[in-house]
Formats: sequence, structure tokens, C-alpha cells
Amino acid sequence: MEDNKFGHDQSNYERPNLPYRCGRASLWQTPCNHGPEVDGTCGGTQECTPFLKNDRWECRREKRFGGPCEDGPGSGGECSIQRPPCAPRSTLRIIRGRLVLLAVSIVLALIGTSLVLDPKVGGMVSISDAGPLSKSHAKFTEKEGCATCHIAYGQGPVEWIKAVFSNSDLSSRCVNCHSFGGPSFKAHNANMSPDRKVGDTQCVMCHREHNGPGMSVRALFSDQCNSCHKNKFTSLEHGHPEFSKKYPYFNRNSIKFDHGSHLKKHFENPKVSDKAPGSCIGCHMITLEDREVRPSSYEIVCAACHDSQIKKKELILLRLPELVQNRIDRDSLVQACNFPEGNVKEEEEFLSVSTEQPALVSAFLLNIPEDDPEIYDQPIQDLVLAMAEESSVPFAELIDSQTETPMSENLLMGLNPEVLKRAACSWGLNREYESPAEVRFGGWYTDMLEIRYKPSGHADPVVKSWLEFALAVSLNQKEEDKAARAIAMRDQILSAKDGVGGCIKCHAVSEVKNSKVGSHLAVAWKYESKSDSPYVLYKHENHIEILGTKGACSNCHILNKEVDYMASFKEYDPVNWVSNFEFISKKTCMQCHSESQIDLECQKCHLYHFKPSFKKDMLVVKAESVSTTP
Amino acid sequence: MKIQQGFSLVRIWVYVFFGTLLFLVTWIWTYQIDSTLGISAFANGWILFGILVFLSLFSARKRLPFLPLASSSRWFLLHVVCGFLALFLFWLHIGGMWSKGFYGQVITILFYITSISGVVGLFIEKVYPRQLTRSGVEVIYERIPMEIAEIREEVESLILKCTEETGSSTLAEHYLETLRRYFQRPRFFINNIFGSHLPQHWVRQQCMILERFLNEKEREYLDKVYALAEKKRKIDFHYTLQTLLKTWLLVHIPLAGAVMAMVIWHLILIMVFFV
Amino acid sequence: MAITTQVRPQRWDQPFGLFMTELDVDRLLTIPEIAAIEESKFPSHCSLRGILKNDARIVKYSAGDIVIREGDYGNSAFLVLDGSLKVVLFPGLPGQMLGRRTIQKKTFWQALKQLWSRSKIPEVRDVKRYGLHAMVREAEDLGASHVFLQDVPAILDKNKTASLGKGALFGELAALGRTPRTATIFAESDIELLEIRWQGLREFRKYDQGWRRLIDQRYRTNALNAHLRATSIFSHLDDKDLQEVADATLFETYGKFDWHLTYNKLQSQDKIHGIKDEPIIANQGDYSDGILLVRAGFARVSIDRGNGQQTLTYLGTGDFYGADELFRVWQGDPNVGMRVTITALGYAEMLRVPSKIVEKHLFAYWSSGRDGFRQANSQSSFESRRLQDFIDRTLTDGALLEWAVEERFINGTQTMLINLDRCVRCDDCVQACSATHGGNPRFVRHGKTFGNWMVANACMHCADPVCMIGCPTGAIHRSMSGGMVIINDDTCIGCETCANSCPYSNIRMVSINDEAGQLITDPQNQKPILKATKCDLCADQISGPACVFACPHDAVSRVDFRKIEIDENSTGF
Repeated sequence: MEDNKFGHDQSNYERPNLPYRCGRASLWQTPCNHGPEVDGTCGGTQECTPFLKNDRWECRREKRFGGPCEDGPGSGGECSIQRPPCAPRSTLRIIRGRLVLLAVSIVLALIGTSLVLDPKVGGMVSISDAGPLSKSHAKFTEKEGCATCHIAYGQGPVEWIKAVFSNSDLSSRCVNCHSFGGPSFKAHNANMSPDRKVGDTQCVMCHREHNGPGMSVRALFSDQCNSCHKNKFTSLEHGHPEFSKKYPYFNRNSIKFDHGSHLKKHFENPKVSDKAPGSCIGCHMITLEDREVRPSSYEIVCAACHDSQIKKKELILLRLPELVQNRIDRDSLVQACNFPEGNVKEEEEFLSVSTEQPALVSAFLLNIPEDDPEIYDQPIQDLVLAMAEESSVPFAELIDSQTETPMSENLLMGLNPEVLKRAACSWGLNREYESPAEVRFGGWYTDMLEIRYKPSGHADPVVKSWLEFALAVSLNQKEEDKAARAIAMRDQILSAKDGVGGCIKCHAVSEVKNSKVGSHLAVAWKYESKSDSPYVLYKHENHIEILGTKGACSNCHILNKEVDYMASFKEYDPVNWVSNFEFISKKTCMQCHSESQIDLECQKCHLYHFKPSFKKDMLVVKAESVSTTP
Repeated sequence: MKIQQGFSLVRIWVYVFFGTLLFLVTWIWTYQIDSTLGISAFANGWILFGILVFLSLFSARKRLPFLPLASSSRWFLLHVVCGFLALFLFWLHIGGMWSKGFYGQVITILFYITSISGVVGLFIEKVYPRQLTRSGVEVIYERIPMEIAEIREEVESLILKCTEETGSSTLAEHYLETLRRYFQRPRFFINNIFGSHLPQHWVRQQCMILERFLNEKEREYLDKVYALAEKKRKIDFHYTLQTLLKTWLLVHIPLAGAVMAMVIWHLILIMVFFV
Repeated sequence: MAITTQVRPQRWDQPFGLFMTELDVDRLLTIPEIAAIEESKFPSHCSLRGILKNDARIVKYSAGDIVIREGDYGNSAFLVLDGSLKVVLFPGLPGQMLGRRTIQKKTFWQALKQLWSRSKIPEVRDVKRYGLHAMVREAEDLGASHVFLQDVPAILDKNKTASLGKGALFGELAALGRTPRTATIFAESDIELLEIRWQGLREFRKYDQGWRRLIDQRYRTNALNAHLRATSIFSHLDDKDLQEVADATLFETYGKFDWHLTYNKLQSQDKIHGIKDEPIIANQGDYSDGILLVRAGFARVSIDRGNGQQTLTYLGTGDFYGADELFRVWQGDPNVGMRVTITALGYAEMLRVPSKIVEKHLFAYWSSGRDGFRQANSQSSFESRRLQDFIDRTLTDGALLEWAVEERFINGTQTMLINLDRCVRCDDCVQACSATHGGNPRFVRHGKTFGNWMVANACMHCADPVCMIGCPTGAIHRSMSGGMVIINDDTCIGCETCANSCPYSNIRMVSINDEAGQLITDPQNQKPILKATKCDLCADQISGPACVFACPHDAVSRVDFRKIEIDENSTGF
């Protein structure tokens, strides 16, 4: 290209800063010299403005545009080079600026519309939509919408500005529905006393919303745990402390079940071996629980062998002891027993029909020494007379006087008053009572010199009540003799061998310490769940699924043959206790859970929250809203 | 005096180093905040916002050539480095490549298109100038219509002259049939984008097929027409490449504006509803 | 179309001195130096009185005031009317002491204001300014403040100085030769000077024999000595020896003083065939008879290569050549001739210091000291090595310079060089230029190209600013600080002399508009008022040249071709 095109007298400055370009040029025609005006009108309709000099029109075309033209101005002074005006076009730079404005305006318009119109009403997508809620939250926030969580939602601009400078405190809105076993905004929902200061926690630290239908919870890795926990480590293998000493058998079993003797002795016994379970899962229900594996019920597990033993162990409420002399007023007796006149004759010499000692129960109730007939002679005979007169009432009175809350009803449940009266009448006459029928299914019965209770089977309520009674009265006895008698009675009733029903053979008795009332003994009637580690997570099922039912249990639960399991049950202290099984240590888990095998992050075994749940009213509200919707 | 034939390698590496450093620091910071259960999106979000503001300030810088705001070439280099940095920070911020909310998705799409257009722009800005130089002509974009009109007029007058002088209308007919369209406006736009040799071939072909029908005198005119056609072809090439060099910004800048508007709204929403 | 009108400015519309009265002129005519002038030799349109009134002015300085500073470009000469001055000889005063005044840079706020204050209409001028501008000139030309030197005795003690007394003329050579001032001159006592702008000086020299002789003689005594003294190899000489050198030095002028007026035309018509048409100053292989010094203009240094000449470098004002060859001859090597050919590029004013004088005053000095010989050797070998470096350059390496010499771009000190391999044609440079010049670009992003290099149509701020020749009002001038060539829009009369003088077409005439966008025309003939415009190197901008500053791809640079090195340590990115 010839450079002289750009000679100072050939061309003008190129002015890319101007907003318009020649419309003719945009159609690939020769552009005019002048170019468009700044206001976008065509500036090239004529080449010059001729000047009238000495009555002659002179061309005024600039030199760089070719100088005066050949034809010169017309006679009227008009330029001879006239063109129809073009339509100047915007330059790319201007178009670019407009596009920027357009793009920004579209965004602002969409934002504006989303502010003004509710997306549902407007029927269009809100540009401010932060994203879909999780399924559950979407349901629960249907009614209140965004304002459920966002305080500033739907408020005016003033509130917005305020919101910018204040804490939106989203977490406080979470606890409108959610609740925990402890403070909501403390670490682990627990009032721990951390060694170092840990600020309040917030739900949004881990829980995010607007991430679609799935819940978005931040996975906690060891780093997050380590940020608070003093004992820092990365995995079970590296740094996790050894499990505590008795893990996981911290508390004494509520049921004395010696796995050792059963597995090694009894189940091997050919007499009963057909009743023995084939494996652990014969007694333990692994599919129902995660961490705790309960034994199956008594009926399934124990009854086959142990049911018959219960009925054999009876309670003796009263035994007519050896008496020194007859101290019963004959008239009263006759009247009470409604004996036919003459049938009752006075004996010349009193010879006690019984040579036994009084029963421990009645000894306690009457507060009499069981070995001194001189002393108990009178109270026993008074009682017999009273029984003859009022049947079980004197017993009931005696029992009720022992405890604050009357227990006689439970204790004497099913005691036939007529039988009792007849027996008393016999005994009043210093005769043995002959029972009309044998008690086969258990219950109260009177036989010869005794009032006895035969347990009806497992979980007999009267037997249970008597154990409770014995435990209750053995405490807080002021009088020394009486206390001794209460303990003697208690020991008899609680005796695993002789006690009524033999309950204590299996049910553990523990001393329960209570600062208010003082310690007392309690029988573990039920299988007690001893879980008090709310942050630990373990699923038996998953493990057994992988390891198989056969060897699965013994892989971790190894029977300890050395231990005298039953020894500790002889005392009432539940803490000083050794399990049948060897304690589980880290090593046990690390058979599989080393870093090279199945690594364990903190969250695999530990839970963060303490007893997470929903608030009741929230559920009610929801239920209402559900019921109102057809 | 040294003439820079490009940005100093040292400077590029320094910028890349600091860009990487900033990213790593942000990354580590994010990780640290995540470790302490903080909300890391605030930290890397503000940094990302700062970078985005800086990126858009490049446009402002271009409007303020009279202020001592460091040279535009430094800004450009930083713009490129920060552009890539922004992309990585963006991924760090949204924790992946794709956002879940509708608003986030719109920003993501716009941001991606802006980024891609930026990368494409960078690519053509580095490739096309050399091609333009090699074309052998140099023409100011605004003058292309004038140049083409001038060539056309010249060609047409040549053809008229040829017809007058030789009395043969072969060249004129061929011009009217085929070449006129070529000289009308820039052609072969798409071919030129990819540096195709088709236009060159076409021009030569159109003149070649005519040769056997012309006499010596006419051939002289044909040679002149061919020279002008070649010149026009080069100008067409300039037109295509310069058009692209200018129009990629029509995508990049408006979308960048939209992204910034949305980012600011995002910031407002976060401040109002979340913080 | 409504047209705003204004009387077309005339030559002496803008007198040099505002307060020059007829009385002053009468007084001046009694001064011996002026009285000697034959008034009748002057033509009527350019009378002596007219010149004195309009092209000269009486200025007063207090003792210690700096009158001219070394390195300044000035366009006027001074005649001492009263008092005495001191000339500080080489090495001169430090810049700080000279109170170097930079161009009034905009403040940050003023710079920012350009964002909105620039007009959307091209080339808008405030017409009222032209009327008011007499006062503006006063402030500009007289200089609101004179810089004075602290502790003159200490300066006199530390520096070599020369005295100027009543009747002395100084600054005339710098003004006429368009060369920078070679020395600083300050007032020793309170003084009164007649400042004659170079247009006036030119007329004096043209029409008066006495002044011509005087100027030429002064050239020998003042400028030549100063020039020689400023040349490093002669800086050790005392006044007497230097005078001896100066007396023996030969003046040689090659080429045409007005080469620029015809160069472009001849070149475009293919009438110049490069080096073959250049006047030869010294031929390769010739016997070397002295050291060549460039007084003004440019000289090409080349060697035979194949069937042509390869340009190695060029010499500008102050450069010299030939010491190495002479030294070797003096050392006894008989077969040393000129290793290069030296030709004049357009116009070159050369000084030839004969070999006898060089041997006596230079080589003798070099070998007189204890380690003089080593010094001599090292001096000589340094020059030799530099030359060898040039010779060793490949043709490819040297091609850009060769081209620049051919196109005379060597004249530029701030040539706008665009690397087309990097330029994305975004016009950011033009936009920046327009933004810093009230909405008007001051260059065209187009120009001659060589490979991937383009020299754009932007003022190169030439070492030899031929555009300044012939400006009737002095509107185009060198900035007193920085040396960039700038046009005073207020005094420009739109005569196009500079635009036509510029061989590179870098000065463009524009028609101006008023603030409403109306063309401003001369009421007498309705012709548009033109103004010469060009790059001013953003002299008043804080950011420096906006074009370079605004290029995002480092494609634009303002260069001096002789100092160019391609930075190898950069990438194509």
C-alpha cells in the first residue's frame, strides 16, 4: 500500500474514539471525507461550503481531500458534489458499550422481577433462587416459605440494610423445629468443660441448604474434630486412644448369666444339651439393635431348663411354732371359729403340736425372737386368735405398718381368707390343719402348720412384691433386734438357693446409691440397657453381615475362662465387676480397621449430636397441616 | 534502550508465581477454616470477589490512560494471570465445577462463557497479529471499506479501459459474472478465520481460467486486475482477523458486566440473608 | 452551516517581547553591535526595526540567575547589553543545581479531569484563548521565575568557567544549528540582555555581513571550543591547547541544509538510491587524516559488503570517528586505512581535527602519563571492539537499523515503533492518545513497515528537528526541559510550514471547531482556520507517553534507533 496515503496532506487522523462511522462505508462504498457528525447525522452530503468572493463562488474543499474540485460550485453557491445522506452506523466500541449496558440491565431486570414477583405467582424462575431445598425442609417450609429461615425475607429495603449490618443468625431458626438432648449451640450439645475455650457452635457450620433434594451435611474429618479435641489424631490406627479398661462391659449385667458355665458345662451336659442353643444368635437378637445386642426373652432363652425350678421354691409366711402353753381365750376362739359347743374341750396338759421355730417372715413382722418360745408364745397366739377372728386382716395390718406405702395387697394377693381362718382355728386348738386340696399351679396355701406361697412361675407378681418388701424393710430399721430380723428375713427371701422363686439366682441385686434417700438395694427385674455413650456408633448387624453368623461374635467377644463371673454378684456393688468376656481393645477392631484396610474416620464410629429430635409442637403443626389438606 | 519483543519471561513467571501463591494461600486458608468448622466460602469468596473487581478494573484502566496506574501491559498480564486465578478460585468457592442453585448456575454459565471467551481472545491475540504481519499489507480496520471501494473503482476503471482499448468484452463479462461479487465487499470470512488457502486459490483460478481467452493486451489488464484482487484478498484477510480481534470482546466484556452485576447481587443476598 | 470567524494570524502578530517599544528599538540601534548593521540591506517586509521590535526583547537577570542551561534546547540567542556572565565549562553543573524545571505536569486531579472534560467534537478550541494569549505568552516566554545559583563562589571554585562581557553574543549557534545548549551560562552581576529569537538571528545573519562574520567567528571560538571540550577525547586540554586544536580544525558541510524538503518526494519518485547518492565524508580504505566529529546532522558508518554497503551505525551530533585508525598509524602500523565509509545522511556538519594536531595533543597525552599508554590502548581498543561488534552483526540483526537509516528514522529520538507481531490492532494507543489530548488523537497508527516493525505516523521528536525551521512565530519549539518538540497551539497560525517540512508526515493540519461543533473559519475568505498538531509526547501528562503506557501487549515503544537492542530475554507471549 502506498504510504503517501497517510501523508499529512492526504489523510486525516483516524478517530476511533468517535461514536459513528460512515454509513456508506458500512455498505462497502467509498466513505465521504468529512465523516458523520458527532450526533450521528451524515456529515458528507456535500464536499465543501463554497465561499462567495468578489461575486464568484469559490470551492473550499480542503487540500487533503483533493483541493478545489474540477466543476466548482454551482451558480447558486451550492457544492457540485452532492450526495444523498447516508445513515451512519455506530462503531464496534459503541456497540460493545451498549451490549454491556444491555447485559447488566437484563440481570438487573431479572433481579428486579424476582424481587417484585413471587416466583410462584409470576410463573417464572426467580433469578435470586439460591437453589432447591432438601426434600424434608422443602415440605416443612411450604407454608412460610423463605421467611422460615431468612428473617429479612419479604421485608423492605430498610430491613435489608439492617440485615446487612446485623447477624442473620440462621441457626436460631433451626431450633424452631429441631431439639437436642443438650444445649443446641454447644459443641456436641453438651455442657462440657473444655480445656480450651470453644465458642458456640452454629448449625450452618455443617449443615447447608439449597443444595438440591439431598441433605448436604459437611463430612467431618479428623481435622475438624482435632480443632477442638486436645487429643489429636487422624484415624483409629494412628493416635486413637486405647478403649477404656472394661470396654464395652462397663456395667454389671442385670441378669446373672454365666456364659462360662453354660457354654462349657451345662450345654455340654447330655441331659439338657438338646435344649441348648446352637450359637450366640440362639439367644441374642442381632438384627434388632445397632450397638446393643439384647438377649431374647426368658421364655425363649431360660425357661426350657429353669422354669421348673422356680415353683419349687416357696415362701413360708407363718409357721405355727412350738408353744409353751395355751394362751388363747377359748371362748373367743370358739366364738370366732364358730365351733360347735362341746366339740372344743379343754386339754389337761398343753402339749404343743409344733416343735418348729416360727417362720422368719412372721418373726420379723411380730418382732419376736424365733428361738425363744417364752417370748413369742403370747404374740403368736394373739396372732392366731386374730387370724381366727379376722382372717388375713391382722397380717395385712402388720405388713402395712412396716412400710410407708401399704404393700399388703400385693403381698397377700390371692390369699384365701376362709382357708386362713380355718387354719387359725385349727392352730388355736393346737391342732394341725389339714389342707383340703393341693395347690398345683401356685398361690397361697395352708398346710399343716404353715401358710406358704408357691410361685406360679416366672415373673410371679407376689414373689416380686415379697422381694421388694424384704428389701424395703431391711433398710432404716431403728431397733437393733428388728433390724437383725429384717435382714435375716431379707437374706432368706433373696437367697438364690432357698429364696422364694429363686429369683436372685438370675436377677442381680445391686446397691443403688441415692443421695437423697440413701442407698438401697434393688433387684434388676428387667434386662437393663446400659448404654450411656451417646456419641458412639456401632452396628453389630453390619459386622455380622460381613463376618457371617458363625464365627462373627467370638471374633470380638472372647470368653474368659479364668474369671469367676458369679463371684461379684454375691455382693451388691455393681461396679466391682468382671465380665465373662475379655475386654475389647483397639487391637480387636484393628484386625480389619487399619489404615491400609478399612480406614475409620472419626465420624464412622462417633456421632456429633446428642439426642437429636424434633420439637413436639412442630410435629403437631405439621400433623395439623397434613390433616387439613384433603 | 531495549525493545520488548514480548513480555519479559521473568515478569510472567513472577506474576504466575504470585498468582499461584495467592491461590495456594487461599486454598490452605479454606482448608484451615473448614477444619475449624468455619465457613470458608466467605474467605475465598471475598478473595474471588477482589480478583473479579480487579479483572473488571482493567476496563476502567483503559479509560484512564492519563493516570499513572501502571502500564496497560502490566495490567494485561495481571488480567490474564488473575483470569486463570479467578477460574481456580471460582472452583474452590463453589466446591466443584458446577453450582446447584439456579442463581449459582446462571453465574456459573456466564462466568464460564466469560472465561472461555477470554481464553479464546488471548489465543487469537497471540496468534493473529503474526498472521496479519505475514499477509504483507497493513491496514487500519476503519479504512477497510475505503480501501475496498478504492480497489473496486480501480478494477472497474481498468476493465472499462480494457474494453475501450481492445474492443473485447471478455474480461468485462467475466468481471460482471464472477469477479464483481468478489470485489463488492470482504469475502471468504470463514476461510480466513482458519487461515485457509482457498481464497488465494480462488483468485488465481478465476484469473487463470480467463487467460486463454485473452490476447496479449488484455492479459496486461488481467495481470493488473489480478494484482488488485490479490491486494483485496489480503485486505479481506485483515478484515476477518481484525474483526475477530475486535468482536471477541463483544462477548467477553458484556458477559463480564453481567457476571459482575450478578456477583454483586449475590454478595448482597449473602449479606442480607446469610450473614 | 454557521461559521465562526477569526482574523488569520500574521507573522509578527505575536512579538517575542511584549513590552518592546519604539524607544527600546531606538536604544538598541545605538548599541555598537547593532549600529554596525546596514539597515538598508534588509527588505521592507522584514526591516531591522521590525526584527528588533518583534523578534527580540530586552530581558533582565539578577546576579546568579541562570540564563541558559546546558542541554537545553533554545531557539534564541543573547546579546549582552550590560553586565557580565559566566559560562560553566565542561563537565558542567549538576542538573539539580541548574534548577531544571520540568514541564508543568498535571496534578492527579487535573489528569483525572480529562475523563469528562474532553469534548466529543473533534478539534475543539476555545477561540477566546487566542485573543487573550498575549498574557499567556508573557508568562510562558519570560518565565515567571529565574532560577538562580546558590553560592556562586563555590561554583566558580569547583568548575572551569569562562566570562562573557558587554557586547558578547551567545546562544546563537544552538539557536541556529538546532542543537542543544552546550554550556550553562549564568549572570555574574545584574545584567541586561537582548534576547533574539532564531528567526531574527537568521535574518541578521542573512542580510548582514558583519553579523555573519561575527557568528562564524564566534562559532570557532565559543562553540567549537565548547564542542571540542564536550568531546571526551579533548576534555583534558587546557584553553591554549584547545584553541590550537580549534584553530586547526576544519569545517566541512556535506549534503543540503534543507534535505528534508525534497527527501520524501525524491524517495517516492525513486530518485534517491540510498547510500550511493550520499555525499562521502570518508571512504573505506582511504588514508586516515584526522578525527571526524559530527557537529550537526547525521553520518552513516558503513562497510563494503558483497556488492553493497552494510550500515553499521550512524553518527549524530557530538559523535566522532577515527581515533583508532590514527592511533595505530601513530604507533607505526603503516597499513591502516579507514575501516569504514562515512557518508552524510542528508546533511552533516563535520569537524575534521587533523592527524598532526591529534598526535600532538591527544596521543602524546595518552602516552605521557605513567599508565597513559595502557589507557591509550584501552581507549583505542574499546572503539575498535565496538566497531567490531557492529561488523560482527548479522545482516538480519542489522537490517532494522539499515532500514531506519534508509528511511531517516534515525533522526527520531522518540520514534514510535510498533511490533506488529504483538499488536492486536486494538487502537488502545490511539484511544489513549485521544483521551490525553482533549479527545483528539495526535498520531495515525500507520506508517512504513519493515518486517514486523512499523514506524507509526507519530512525531519522533527528532534530534535534528527540521520542522522547526521556518516557523514564522516560533509556535513549534523544543521544550526547555525534556527536549521534546511541541507546538504552541495558541501561536500557531496554520501556515503548514512545519507540516510540509516534516519528512515523515508526522505533523497534521486540522481544521478547528468551536465548542458547539461549528467550523471556525477566517471571516475574510471563509477558509477554515488550520492548526498544526502532532504528538507532544504527553509532556504535561503524569503518565508519560500515553500510547506506550496504554498498550496492553507491549507492542508500542518510543525509541532512538541507535540505542535499540532487541531484548532477548522476552517471550513471544
